[in-house]
Amino acid sequence: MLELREAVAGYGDSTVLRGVSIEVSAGQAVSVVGPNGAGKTTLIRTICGLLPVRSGARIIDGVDATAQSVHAIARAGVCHIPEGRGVFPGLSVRDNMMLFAGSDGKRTAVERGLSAFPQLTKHLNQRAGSLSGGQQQMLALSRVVVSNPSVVLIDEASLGLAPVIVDEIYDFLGRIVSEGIGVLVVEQYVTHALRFASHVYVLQRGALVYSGAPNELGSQEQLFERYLEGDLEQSRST
Amino acid sequence: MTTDTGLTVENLTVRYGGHVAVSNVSLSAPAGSVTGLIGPNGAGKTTTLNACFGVVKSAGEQHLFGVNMTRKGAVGRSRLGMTRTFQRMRLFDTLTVEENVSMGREAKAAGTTWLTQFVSSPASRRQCEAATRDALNACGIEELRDRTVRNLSTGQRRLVEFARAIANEPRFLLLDEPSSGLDVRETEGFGTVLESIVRDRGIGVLLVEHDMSLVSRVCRYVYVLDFGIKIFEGTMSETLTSPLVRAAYLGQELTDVPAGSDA
Amino acid sequence: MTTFLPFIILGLTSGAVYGVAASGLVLAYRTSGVINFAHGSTAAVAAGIFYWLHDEHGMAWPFAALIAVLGLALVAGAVMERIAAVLARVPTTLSVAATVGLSIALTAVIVIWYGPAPLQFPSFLPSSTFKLGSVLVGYDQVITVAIGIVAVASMSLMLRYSQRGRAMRAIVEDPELLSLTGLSGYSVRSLAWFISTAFAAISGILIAPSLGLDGTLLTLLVIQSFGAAAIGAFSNLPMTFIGGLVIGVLSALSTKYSGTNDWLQGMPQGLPFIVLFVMLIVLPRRLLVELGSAVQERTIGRVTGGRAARSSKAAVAAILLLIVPSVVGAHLAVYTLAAAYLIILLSLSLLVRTSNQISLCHMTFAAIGALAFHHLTGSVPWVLAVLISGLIVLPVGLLISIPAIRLSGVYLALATLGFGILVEQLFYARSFMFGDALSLATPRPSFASGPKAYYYLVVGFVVITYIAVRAIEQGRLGRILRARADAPEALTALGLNIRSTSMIVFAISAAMAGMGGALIGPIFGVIGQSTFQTVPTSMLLVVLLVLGSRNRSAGTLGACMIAAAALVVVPDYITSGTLQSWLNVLFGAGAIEVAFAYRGYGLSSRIKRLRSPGSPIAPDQPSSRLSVPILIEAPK
Repeated sequence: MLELREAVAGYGDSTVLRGVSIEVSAGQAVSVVGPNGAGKTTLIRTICGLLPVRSGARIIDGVDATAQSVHAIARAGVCHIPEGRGVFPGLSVRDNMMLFAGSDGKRTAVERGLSAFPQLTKHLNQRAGSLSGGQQQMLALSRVVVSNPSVVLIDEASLGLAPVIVDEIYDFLGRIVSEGIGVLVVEQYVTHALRFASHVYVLQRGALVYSGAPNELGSQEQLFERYLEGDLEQSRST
Repeated sequence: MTTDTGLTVENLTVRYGGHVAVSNVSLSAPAGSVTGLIGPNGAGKTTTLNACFGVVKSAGEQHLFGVNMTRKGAVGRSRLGMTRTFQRMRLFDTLTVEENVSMGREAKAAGTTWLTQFVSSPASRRQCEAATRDALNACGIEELRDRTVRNLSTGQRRLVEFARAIANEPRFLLLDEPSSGLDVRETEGFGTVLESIVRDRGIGVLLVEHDMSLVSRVCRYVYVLDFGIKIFEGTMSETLTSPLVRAAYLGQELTDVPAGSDA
Repeated sequence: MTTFLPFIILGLTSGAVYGVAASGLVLAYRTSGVINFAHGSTAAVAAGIFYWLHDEHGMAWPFAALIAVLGLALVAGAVMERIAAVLARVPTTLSVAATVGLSIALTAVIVIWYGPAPLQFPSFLPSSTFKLGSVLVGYDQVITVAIGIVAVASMSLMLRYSQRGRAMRAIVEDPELLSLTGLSGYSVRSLAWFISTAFAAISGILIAPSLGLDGTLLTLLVIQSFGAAAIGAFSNLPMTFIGGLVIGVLSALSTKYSGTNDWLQGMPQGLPFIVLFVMLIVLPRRLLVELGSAVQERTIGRVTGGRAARSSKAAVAAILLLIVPSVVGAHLAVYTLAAAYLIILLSLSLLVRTSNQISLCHMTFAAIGALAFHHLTGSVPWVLAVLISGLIVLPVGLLISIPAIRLSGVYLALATLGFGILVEQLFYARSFMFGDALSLATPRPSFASGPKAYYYLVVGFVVITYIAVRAIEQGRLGRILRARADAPEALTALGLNIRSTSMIVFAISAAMAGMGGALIGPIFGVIGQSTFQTVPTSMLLVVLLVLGSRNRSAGTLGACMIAAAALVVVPDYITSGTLQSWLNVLFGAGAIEVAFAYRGYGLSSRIKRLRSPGSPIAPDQPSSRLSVPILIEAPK
């Protein structure tokens, strides 16, 4: 469905991703975890076209999309919800939902968005920027039901949100996976990410250090040590 | 309050609109050592650093070597002997490495009056030259001195920014994520430079950093922030074994964590 | 009330036109990040097309208007989107110079088309009137206001309720997220430029009957809408339109009194610029954040070449300056004028080239210097009079440094433009400035009364100015200015107060420009208002200086000499008025090319690419850093 092959990408002169291959298929729940600065956001921006693939390939539904523009990739069914700012803060909730629908289907957009997150009903005419963090994340996620994507990429789904809201968000993600949508979640916090995913990638310093089922990854303690000390050992051994 | 305490921050609170970015954080960072400020993304580390430099509005009091600087802006704090680096580097891109580093001292000499900004005395020029030479030396970038900064790699640019701060001859230095964009080798090199300068010059450093290899190597004492709240402080080894810190980094709910930590 | 009503109606009419023009300006700025200084000239071109269709070919006015508005808007929608996409990513100095250049080029097109003398532009709207109470109201006034309200209201409705409108509001907030939803920024911005240009065109056609078909006047009039845009803080469209109405009414009311009150003289024309200047000083800074990504990049890099190359270039320049009198014959006066302009350009280069700040009011500094010299001459020794004239302008420079401290880039450009036009409109005709006199005496000194001797005297001043500018560039202030252009917050972090820096550089630059102005007068023995125009001379100075700096090996003096030659020498050899206008078209196009070249889309790189197909566009100036793999060798 969606694949990145040996992708190299970065900003300006610095290379952040050093040959990363990942895959998300229909109805699959995938997590990418790793410490701060590992390149998780860069990875997700490279998948959706905000950053060019410098070498390697981006493949969507078996078609090479390495050189495609962001909006073309979006129309091909890739829905990226960026970290902390997946909404237009100055626009109303209603306007946000209608925009999410893109060029067609805006008539029923609000209806579909509210069916997923009925809590937003009473805020329809409110500016998105005045919603609470959790409500904003829900509005951002409503784009999934409004725009009918085949793959959803979420950057830091739970960052800065209260635990109750995080549970609700992961419930929602579980539902859309069962509907056959591929979901890739990037998380710094691993607890939820590991519980949710059927396949986990661990990213460290721009390279994959693990790819496989979450239960083979080892305990969370071990992962934490990897976060904090792995780098240190790695640097000492070089 | 003794003067060797370097930087002290009491009950720092920063609000953006209705959102509290940093809440009631107190910390102190002595001269002659590196103090770490760590925490997950969005924990309020950079906001705290910005508040220490007077570029965001905050509540609470801040002292530098015993002088109350709460009401001072960035220029005033800098003139008390404090300077900083930026996570997104603010270099003079069209100038050479030497000119960048030299400006570290020259900006201080030019200061706030129009006459000193307009002309420089020979004595002031000699001072700048000496400070520049020392800083280039200390950071090991003498051979880059004539290169235009725009054309350098991120690792080299980080060192230039650091050398510029050193040339400013600060008594206290705020470092904002100096390892971001560096690879393992470069980070290690940066750590060596930082350690030797702190040792030789006895300056105090507050280090905001996500790279734990660098933090655990150079920091004597560490503060951990999460959700804008100080959740832990202690030595490096205490920090690494703290269940609270682990919970913050992994996103566990605090109720999962055994009680009894000294937060 | 009845005494005010006619003025209020008059004001609402012109205010509606300002409001429409300003709304278009703001819409394009918010969606593309570029303030279009050519907005007024676009309006003038629309009026020209309308005149051609309606008055020369007898087309019914509604059709003529429709074709002029839609035709121009369609072209601009496609072209301006592309230009703005590049301008949003170049330093402000270049993007401002590009649209200012476009303005000069479009104004020249009108002159080429209809000749330099303003044409009568007959009123096309019904001229009959009706009585509102005791006041006669023209149907044309009602129609004008109605068109204004309908245009702005329909745009507001579109922005609010249509998908395109939502996308336009969204692109302001987060262009990246918009593209993630599958909408292309290109089509959204194209539509914004289409509407923006259509609005400029509408305002141009509506205002032309009261002004005649005069490119400069029409341009100036639509620049008045910048004041309305400032009232809307360059973002709020309804406030912008209301701002237009307020300015229109206040201007009209001041017309009522300016006949009887001397101090209100020039107020109707100057008021919008007072509003612009004051709003830029009082608006909170957070409302005046520049859009666009490269605003802090420096314009013009270091001069290439070593000391030897520099001294040989200086030698060439010196020889050129020295042999001029023996080879140019009767043209000497023009070369003397060029030398005086060279001083003004050198002073401007301290801002534009060294510190990446724009002043669109340098001719105002020159005018004040020239006037001061006129008053001083006779009572003070001649050379001293020139120097004191410069000192008198110094505090004016300090005044302009107030917006320079607060504002960066395009807003500073707007503030200086506003200041220049405001002084021109409000004070030039006052007795303490040029007054009613067509010319004021400005004699040459007794020791250099011949044209040749005076030429050498001015060149002497050029040399002194150049040495001073060079010393500043090389000295501490120059280093600070270059550093500030790259990263002001870093200087602050290192303990430098950058406010003082702004004050010093503006004061010095203004004083030098004042001296240059003082030296202009004695060339012809007299001075008059027309020598010191903001539109177009101050604008041309910036455009030509940027053009002169296109080749980076030119250096400060080289760039200024090229600019001075292009400003006065070349036009003097061109006797045909049309050719001169074509020259201005060339300058404007050149300024746009310089901006494109900065991003690597310049003509030269295009040509190189044609020659060797397959090779990627090579930027003329590295816009991204080279990647150099390094290993840090830590000291032991």
